[in-house]
Amino acid sequence: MTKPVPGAARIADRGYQHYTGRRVGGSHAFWTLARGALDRALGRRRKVSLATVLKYLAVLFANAPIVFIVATQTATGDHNFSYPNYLSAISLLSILFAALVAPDLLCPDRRERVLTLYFAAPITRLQYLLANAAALTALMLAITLLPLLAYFVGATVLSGSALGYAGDHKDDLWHLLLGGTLAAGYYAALALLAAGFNDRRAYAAATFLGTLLVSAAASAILSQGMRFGGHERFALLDLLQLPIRATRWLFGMPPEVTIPNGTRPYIPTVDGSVYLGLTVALIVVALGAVVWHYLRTAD
Amino acid sequence: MDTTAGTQVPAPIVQTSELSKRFGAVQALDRATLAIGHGCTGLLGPNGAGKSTLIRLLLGLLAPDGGEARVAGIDARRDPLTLRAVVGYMPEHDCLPSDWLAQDFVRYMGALHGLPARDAVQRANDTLYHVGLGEERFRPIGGFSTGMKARVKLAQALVHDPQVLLLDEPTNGLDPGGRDEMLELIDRITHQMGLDVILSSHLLEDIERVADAVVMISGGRVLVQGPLRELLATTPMITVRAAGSPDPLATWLQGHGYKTEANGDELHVEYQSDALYDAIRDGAAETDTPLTYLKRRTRSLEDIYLAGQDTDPVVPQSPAGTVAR
Repeated sequence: MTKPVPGAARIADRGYQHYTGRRVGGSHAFWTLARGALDRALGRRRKVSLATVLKYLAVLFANAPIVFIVATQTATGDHNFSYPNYLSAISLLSILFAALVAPDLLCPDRRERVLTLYFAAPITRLQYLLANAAALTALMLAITLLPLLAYFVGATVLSGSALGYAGDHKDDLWHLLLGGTLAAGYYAALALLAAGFNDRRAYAAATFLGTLLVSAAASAILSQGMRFGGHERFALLDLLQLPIRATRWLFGMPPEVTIPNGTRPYIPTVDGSVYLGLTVALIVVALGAVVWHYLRTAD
Repeated sequence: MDTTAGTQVPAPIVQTSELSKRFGAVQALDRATLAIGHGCTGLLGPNGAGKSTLIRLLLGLLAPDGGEARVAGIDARRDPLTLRAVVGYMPEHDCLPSDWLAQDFVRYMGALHGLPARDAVQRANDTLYHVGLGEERFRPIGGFSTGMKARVKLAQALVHDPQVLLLDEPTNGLDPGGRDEMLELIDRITHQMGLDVILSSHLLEDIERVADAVVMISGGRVLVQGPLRELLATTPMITVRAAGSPDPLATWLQGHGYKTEANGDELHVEYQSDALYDAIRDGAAETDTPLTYLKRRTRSLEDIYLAGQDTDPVVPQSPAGTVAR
């Protein structure tokens, strides 16, 4: 062993060192933005807040029932499960989650004027928005797709003949993938629209939730409570159920939910493809409006 | 390096040509032609002079109405993303996320500027140490004082080791102690760390203290630009005060070929050689003017600024801020 030389150790201040390492390009900046958005949305390295707890609870409540459903169905042998109906049942959790996450991604950056710094870095406004939209959509999938996928996997594994079940239900798989992704993208786009035009998180969340819930109520009143000609078409106004109705159509079900008490026979008046088209159009319009807003306003 | 007549002249780090920008009825920048060399260059002008507009044009954040700008040889209009990778920017206003830890934010900004994740962490720690926040780097920015926030803004501008640092009113809102420390930091960044700095300020003292060169802007026009030493040494003067009116002495001196300029009860006489002292002594004796004050002074930035507003733009031979490296 080498003997230490007395007095040889010393603290050296190397002073400022120029960076000579590797520099990476534009896609790295995009993924940095997306990862940053995920961290923010999940409350990583921040104080635990009520909003953060609610986000995690929303994901938990959307997914936990699947375990119970799969277990019960395995025990009873009853495999009656509707993916669109489950999506509809958790729609309030979906919009609550979107209302909590989207404002977290956009509002503080604008309110605290951090965009000035971000846009002085080698990133574009479009990259910034796409990264946030991608992060939010990915998180939304944990609510709108993960439980559906979990049921499919659970039902397949516990069916006794996994290959047979998967083969018999392969259409369900791509329908649920499409439906879950559509719902995630739709709620994410509308939530980003609200967050893109409000500097305060609470206002953005209230705008998003208020618009969806009011539209759902108005649509129900007009399409089901009224008796004027073509009143059924007001079902299209229901912004809350729009992607779910499109998903119902994908699964070959009537897009509108039948009235439970059966007093009025269900007559589908709007083709399911209209719901799908409208959902996609609203996603495009909402994201386009946010992009337009960010491109035309100074940071 | 450009080679001119056998001597090596450093290429300007910032160069603009007839750069113009208009916002509605306001001409924010009017055909600004600049050449800024290495070192610290002060961008001086009153509020609303066009300094921030110029900085935003240099960053490629605004499209000019006319002219062009190049920073570190990169065209700001054609290649803004490449340009921003080699430029650091510290804005004037508050722009920090309050719920982030200082280290997290500076690391994040480093990554956005193209540093790989691990290097960004290392650079964030180093940079925060250099701006004096080594101990506080794991605290949320929201709890920082104004001075500490200014240091975080500086650290995020430095983290990717830019070629050029654009500092927009970095001492704004700081108390005298904080301002002093910030100017010391900027001086260190320029003269020890070796980065090229463009320091925008409306405070003459800030520029005089740390800048090697100055560009003066007012009403969107470039009034004066050049190395401070050249500008300040252009016309040294001797200031004379008398117990009575200095007019007889002024007349006497003018009669002997000296240029004078009256300023209230003060008389400024253009200095050409030490013979002027003898002339003032003789003139005072002959005109019976009792002198109470006599001091040689060079022009201050304020003199240059005030003079520049009344004249055509002053452009010295060498680019502003040329410092030997």
